[in-house]
Amino acid sequence: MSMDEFSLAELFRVEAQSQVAKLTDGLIALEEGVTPQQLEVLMRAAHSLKGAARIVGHESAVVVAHELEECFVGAQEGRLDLTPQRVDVLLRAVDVLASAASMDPDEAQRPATAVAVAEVVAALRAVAGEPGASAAARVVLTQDRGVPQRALEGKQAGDAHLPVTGATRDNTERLLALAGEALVASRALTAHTGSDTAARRADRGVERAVEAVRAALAQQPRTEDAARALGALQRVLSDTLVQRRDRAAELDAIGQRVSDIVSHVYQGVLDARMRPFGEGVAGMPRMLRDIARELGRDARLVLAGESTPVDREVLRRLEAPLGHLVRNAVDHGIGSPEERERQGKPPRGTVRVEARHAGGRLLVTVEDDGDGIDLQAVRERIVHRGLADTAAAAEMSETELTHFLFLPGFTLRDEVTAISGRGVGLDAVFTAVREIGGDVRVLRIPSGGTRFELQLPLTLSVVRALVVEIAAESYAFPLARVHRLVRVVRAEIASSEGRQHFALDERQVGLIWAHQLLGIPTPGIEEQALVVVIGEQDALLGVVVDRFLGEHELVLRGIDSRLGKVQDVGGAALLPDGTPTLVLDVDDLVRSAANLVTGGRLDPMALEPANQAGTRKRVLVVDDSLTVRELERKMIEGQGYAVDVAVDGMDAWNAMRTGRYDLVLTDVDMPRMDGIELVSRIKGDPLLRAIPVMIVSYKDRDEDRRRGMDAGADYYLTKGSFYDETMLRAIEDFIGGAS
Amino acid sequence: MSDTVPALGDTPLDDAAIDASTRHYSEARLTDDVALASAFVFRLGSEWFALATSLLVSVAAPPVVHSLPHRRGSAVAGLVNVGGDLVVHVSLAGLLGVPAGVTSSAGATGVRRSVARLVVLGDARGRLAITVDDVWGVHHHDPALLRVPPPTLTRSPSSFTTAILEVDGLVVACLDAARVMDALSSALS
Repeated sequence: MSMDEFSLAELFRVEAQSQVAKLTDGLIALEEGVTPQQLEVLMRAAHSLKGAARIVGHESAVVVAHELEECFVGAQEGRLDLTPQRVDVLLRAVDVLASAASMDPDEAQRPATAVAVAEVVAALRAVAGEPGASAAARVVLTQDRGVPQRALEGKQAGDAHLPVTGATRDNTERLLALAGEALVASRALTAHTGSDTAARRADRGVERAVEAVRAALAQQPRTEDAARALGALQRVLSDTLVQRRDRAAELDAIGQRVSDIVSHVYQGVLDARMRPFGEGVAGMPRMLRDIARELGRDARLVLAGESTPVDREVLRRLEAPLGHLVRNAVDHGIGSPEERERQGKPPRGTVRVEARHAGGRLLVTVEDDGDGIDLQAVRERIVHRGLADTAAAAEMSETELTHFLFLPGFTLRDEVTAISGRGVGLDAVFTAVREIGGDVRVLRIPSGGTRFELQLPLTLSVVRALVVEIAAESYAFPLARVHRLVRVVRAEIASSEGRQHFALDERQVGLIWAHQLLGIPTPGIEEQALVVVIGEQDALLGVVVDRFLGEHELVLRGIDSRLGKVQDVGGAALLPDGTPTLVLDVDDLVRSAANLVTGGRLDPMALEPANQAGTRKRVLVVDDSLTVRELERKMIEGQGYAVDVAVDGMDAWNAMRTGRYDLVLTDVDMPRMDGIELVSRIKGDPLLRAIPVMIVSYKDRDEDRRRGMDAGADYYLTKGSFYDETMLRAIEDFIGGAS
Repeated sequence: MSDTVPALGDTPLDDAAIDASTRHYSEARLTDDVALASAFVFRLGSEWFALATSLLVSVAAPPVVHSLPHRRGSAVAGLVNVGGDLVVHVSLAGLLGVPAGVTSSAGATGVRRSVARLVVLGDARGRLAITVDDVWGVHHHDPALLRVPPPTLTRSPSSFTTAILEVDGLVVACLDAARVMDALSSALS
């Protein structure tokens, strides 16, 4: 990032931000006791800001900074006692200064700001002991009083903490995405090397085959030549196998090393996005002070773990919920100084905010030494709001009771204050924390006081997700937002007023097609529905998908910002096989579902297989590559056939035994059960042997072809002829048109 | 000095010999003075088009396109993975009103292999991917050879063609790169 990117005005804004922070922190620290060093820091900050404002011609900022400086000079000379009331005025002045400095000089001259500036200048003069000073004097004061220019030199660049620009941020994101991708790829590499059981099985197969030849030869009157040839073959084979094993071990080691390096790269890039926790809570001491003064409390904020690295995005999203919790702690927890003294506590309450890493998560705690949660009041409130009857409420455990605190609109306050009690506090905290994949719980401290624990992911860039298939495409649900996965057979689906639902733990869960949520035409349910249950305890939603594809760790990427927010989608990612997938935005989905319901547009679950699907010919496509599988599926479906897919021979074999198929299209090399084995099993089964099986393989040598045909395949096609019509024509030759 | 061996330069050269040896240098310099324009030539459906090579980022095998929900029927076809990057896939054929996917170059042998390619285009605003049915390659041409398109194109407000060029016997429509990118980008939102 070059300095040219910043104009003088921008540099001023950056400097103003950093000086304002110094002023705010310094003023709050004054309440712990005034020291000459602190006053020096404050005076210098005001002075530097004044000088910088003058350079860019920012009159409003010059005036306010000047008055602040005067006050600090007065305090340094012992003329001015900085009482909390006076600090209030000074803090207000810092606010006005911050807001004016963030505007263009001209903009800051507009009436709204000008009035605020004039008022605060008058107030500062009153503090500094010039009660007679009026706003009219302001003009005079804007004239240069001769600040030594040298004091400012080198300030702008050196002192200013330059914010990260949009461009570098995007770059870090991109680097992180690529590093994450490399990590996933390198893990896939190690999974494919030395320990490859398929290769070992193949080796044993070769050895067995040779053994069989030797046994066969033993039956024959042996000839010298055959025995010699067999010996030679065995030697060559065993050499080859040993060599391959060595090579595999070598490859394994390389894979391991690559994986190690890549994980370091990934960690490095991840660290680059980390900011110290303290940066996110810099404004908190001030906020706490303001609230405490407004409510007539005496409280201080203790920060711990300020240097704990936190993902920039997590930190940003944490600001609001932490603010809520700190406000709550003062308002609900810490009593007035008199009350506290009566209880034998120090009059000044303490709110402690701490961040640390624990078990691969970020743990943030907000703790106060106040009254603690009144469980009896919570019980009464629960009964009052009709959430449970008195007997049930009396039996609830502490954990159960505190859960209610996070319900929307639940408050222990009768009157609404400006600080809290509107019942929007804790449920907003809960929502905000859940949105970033975290969890929050509340504990009572035995000695009095309340402790909120926020468990958060270290980064928002990697998400564990459940990958599902919806209309032949993959989508991912963040695992943190998935309540349950359920396989519901047709008989378990009940229907009321055309709405389908099923029982889950004695609760009825409504069903909705994922397809409809995403604007895709809905299919019909045949044997069973695969349901992803999302939403909160009291409003669960069963989203019906086509298949569960598995659980993956996905590196989240943004989607081209030119697309704007894509409804129901939170981001995109790449699956381990390199195909793109979309990560669903669960909150969006819940909202979309609610809209469909209230709009009366919910599609019913067609429980009978759609007529069309019933009469169409069905083809089973078996391939372990998602790409090939989907390509084949699309091509065949394009011809009007119904298509099911299986990811390997075993999957296909299971599907064959429960479903009815007119034709099977299979790859050869697949994990668990390969295509040859699948063909042999189908052709060996009296009920299934009539079903035509086509092999589609990359292997186009004659012996491969022969192996397939020997196993009983009806047709052998090489993948090279994929895009052309050979495959479709062959299907039609075997089973005729689609219906 | 023996006179049996002729000294260098003794043998007289006739004009024909001089011409033959210096022909390379006497010919008009064809290329040096002309700034050659560079165009990326590709096929959509049965029509050939050219875009300024400066827009071209990469060419790859056609990948799996993941559709975007609620965007069906728009110019946005979805997302594709290009070397680990997710790029928005758009339909240039749709923009130009060309029925894509038609295989026109069936050879006499009857063997028709798909030569469809994913082409990534980029400008200051970012990158976009399109699928083309065939890629001819990068063609360098003298801008003077560009022909004016017929009025049926030039007078059409929705036309993106700025010139017609002949490449290897193919009639190629040169597209206005900036306008194409504008139109594709604005189709995103």
